[in-house]
Amino acid sequence: MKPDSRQRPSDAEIDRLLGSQLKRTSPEFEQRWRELRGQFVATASASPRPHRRSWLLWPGIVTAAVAAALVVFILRDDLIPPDRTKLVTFEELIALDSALASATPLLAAENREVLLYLPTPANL
Amino acid sequence: MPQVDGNDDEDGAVFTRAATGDERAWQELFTRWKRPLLAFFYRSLSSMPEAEDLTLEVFVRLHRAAPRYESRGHFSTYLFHIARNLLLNELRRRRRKPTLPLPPDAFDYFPSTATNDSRQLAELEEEFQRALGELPEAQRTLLLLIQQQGLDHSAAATVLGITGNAFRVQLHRARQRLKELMSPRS
Repeated sequence: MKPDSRQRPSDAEIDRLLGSQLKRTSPEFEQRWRELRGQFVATASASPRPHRRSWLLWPGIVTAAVAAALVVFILRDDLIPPDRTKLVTFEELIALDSALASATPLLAAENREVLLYLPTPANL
Repeated sequence: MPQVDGNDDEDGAVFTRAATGDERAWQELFTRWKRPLLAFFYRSLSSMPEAEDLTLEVFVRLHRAAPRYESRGHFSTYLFHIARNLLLNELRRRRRKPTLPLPPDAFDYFPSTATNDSRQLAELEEEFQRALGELPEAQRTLLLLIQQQGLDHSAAATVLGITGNAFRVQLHRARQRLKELMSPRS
């Protein structure tokens, strides 16, 4: 075995080796880069880059759609013409009136006026 | 050794311009990072052709990621995160390939009062590259990120996916192991 004259490397030598960078690059490598750079630029001009915040657009659209659906759902009773078959019967109104009779004096005058003109199937 | 921290925000801004297809911005990034990346890959793989392929691949990955890039951290952390993933893929994929060592004059060793004799330097370079190759990948990458690339400790820990404490332990072990591997064998 060949005798080894080397010493254990110093910290300075280790730092020196670890910190070394390449002095130059090959012409072939530079040429490959130029071709690649050309492709990057061509791709960018062919398809414009979406706006940086474009990822916010889709959650925004979904949220808006859900909100619109909720509004329609909540207001649909106002949008759909009232179903006359579901109106309370006159007998039910009489029963309701009887139940509320004792409370009537406690109602404000304007509420009493409204109660007097409760809709019935006859006047709809 | 590149001064990473001072230029990181600037690099992020250049990358944002590059993402819009700005050719000069791409060139600026390449000019700044080609040699650090080549050195990183060469020291990791002992093969210049592979180092060149992977360096260009880093730029391809950057180009693909550009529309989604948000400048929230150091650009160099992002860059070497990509580089390390490519390196790990390559190490998993490759069979044992013959190494293609570069001569010492390919490197810009910073001045030292120690070995300057060319023959000794050639031996030292050969021994260094061999020893690096015998280090576990994580230890080798850690040393390269800190001492070759000048990343700060937290950035290097982020690239490696380890905590600050684990980082300090690993750094100490890596240096010790490298010195052992470069020591004359009995």
